[in-house]
Amino acid sequence: MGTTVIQSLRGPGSSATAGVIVDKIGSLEEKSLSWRQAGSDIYRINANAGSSVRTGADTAEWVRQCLKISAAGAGAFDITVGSLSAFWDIGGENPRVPAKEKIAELLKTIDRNTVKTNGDTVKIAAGQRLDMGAVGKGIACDEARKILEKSRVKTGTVSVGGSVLVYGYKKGCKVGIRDPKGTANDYMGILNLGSCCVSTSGNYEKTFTFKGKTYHHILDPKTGYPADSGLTSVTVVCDSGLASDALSTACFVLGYENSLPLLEQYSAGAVFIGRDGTVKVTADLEDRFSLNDSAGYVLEPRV
Amino acid sequence: MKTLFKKADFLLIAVLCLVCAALFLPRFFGAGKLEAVIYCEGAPFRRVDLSTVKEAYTIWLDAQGVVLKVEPGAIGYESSNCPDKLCVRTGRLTRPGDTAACLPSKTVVVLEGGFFRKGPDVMTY
Amino acid sequence: MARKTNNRKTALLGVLGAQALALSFLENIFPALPGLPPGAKPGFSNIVTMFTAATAGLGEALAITVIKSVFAGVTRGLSAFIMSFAGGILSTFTMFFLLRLKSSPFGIAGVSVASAAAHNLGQLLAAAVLTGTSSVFGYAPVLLLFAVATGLVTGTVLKVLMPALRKQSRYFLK
Repeated sequence: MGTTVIQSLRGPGSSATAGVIVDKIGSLEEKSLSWRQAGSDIYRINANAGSSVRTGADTAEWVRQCLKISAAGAGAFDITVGSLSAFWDIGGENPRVPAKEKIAELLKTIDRNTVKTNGDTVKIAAGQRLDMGAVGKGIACDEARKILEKSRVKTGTVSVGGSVLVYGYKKGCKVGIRDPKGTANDYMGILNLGSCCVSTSGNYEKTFTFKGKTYHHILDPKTGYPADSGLTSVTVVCDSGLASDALSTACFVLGYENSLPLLEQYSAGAVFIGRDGTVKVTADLEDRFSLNDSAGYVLEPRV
Repeated sequence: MKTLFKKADFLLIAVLCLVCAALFLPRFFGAGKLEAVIYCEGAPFRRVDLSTVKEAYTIWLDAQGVVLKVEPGAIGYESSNCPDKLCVRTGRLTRPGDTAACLPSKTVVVLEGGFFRKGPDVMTY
Repeated sequence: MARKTNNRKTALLGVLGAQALALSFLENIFPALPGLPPGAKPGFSNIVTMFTAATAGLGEALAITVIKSVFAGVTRGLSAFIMSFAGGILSTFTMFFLLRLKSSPFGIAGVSVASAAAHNLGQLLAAAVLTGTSSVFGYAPVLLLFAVATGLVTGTVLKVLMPALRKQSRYFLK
């Protein structure tokens, strides 16, 4: 993941706790989730595709949760996109546009149904690869929350590469949503939230341009190409960090209309920024969202 | 209404001056200062009080390969050895909460403090 | 005779109003000082308002305030009107109350300083409502000091101009 972790914690032992969280996130990447680092659970699962691999107890559980969300979203979010995303390598050293035939070939390896888990073992089909990139940051938020619950920290926020854990708030934490056309500190709106997790998927995070066309990193598991559902970004608010991260990816691929039932199923709310500059907010977040008037977006009123 | 000054006037002025001084006090105890925190590998590495900076200067972090430019009330990445230079492109940080990060060098700069903040407490992206 | 007096009173009020406006206009030449919010001015027009509150009545003083606010609104927009009105109302009530107390312990200077402070408070409140944030109160300490200083100045000027202003009133009202 190689992500930026920014924490703001209040309460006794905040500094020490912040250190523990940073260490945990590092080891999460190294020991569990990275598909690049040899020795991590996911790396070993991929390297031994076709056989059962024993992993840390958490990893198998996370895989199970991802499969559930995958099914609920009809495959819009799928951790078996590993082969496809590795080939595109968007955000990596050698991004490239796969030929049509290659895409067809890679699409065949994307299938959540051939992933089997049992207790703390995981097995994928030969030729498949898992990529937890779409949920890693959300999982990190959940792990951070576990650490905070055991500490004496009263309130705080932990941002893991843009996925945010809001901890200890009944309400009143102002989470800014990045303006897709601005720089890192420009926000297009603010969500006033209590404790929860917030994740955003946008087409501006990792891109590469080839022959005048720009490709972003959120691949549609059905087409094999960057998802195109009319959105620039989706921000999802949910109790579970893993779910908020997975859902933000799924919603980006599904588009506004098709996302609504999925969000409801997970009691999650979302803010959708369309490519046409219109902003749609789900009913449960309506009162909590305020648009930044100088950012140039138009908030669609609820009918 | 003939007299300009009566005894009570001096009292009033004295009281107002005291109230004024009392209101000023929090500022001198750091409540109003704007502080930039430079993180290296996730831990606070150096703090810069931007509200007391009179002249611009640069901070060279050789081990990390980045150069930061500090100005009165602002800080930013001036140059970096990283391939994307996203950190440099973020520009100047001036508001509390503003952040810039350089992944390859594992450095992050965050602005903390400030008296009252209208913007977000944290950003999702 | 009553009607003639009323007309004369209105005429005097008009003159005072115009003088207040003239002073308002002139003091905008005052540059914005560092540390003060842009738009903080010495408030020389308060000289007129105070005189009116002292010699005429609350209604008359408020009339001057309204004239000033409307002028600000017409020339500088709605928010200028709100700011001027909020500050003016608080200021005028303060000065009237202090001036008309049976045994007011305050001299002109005290009333002037108090009403200047009240004026600034009213404007800060209006600004907070207009911008929707409480950060404007960060200016409070500096403004208070400024109010003390300008209050002393306007109070002194009023004392000096008092004979002239009384003469002006006598001219209209005799």
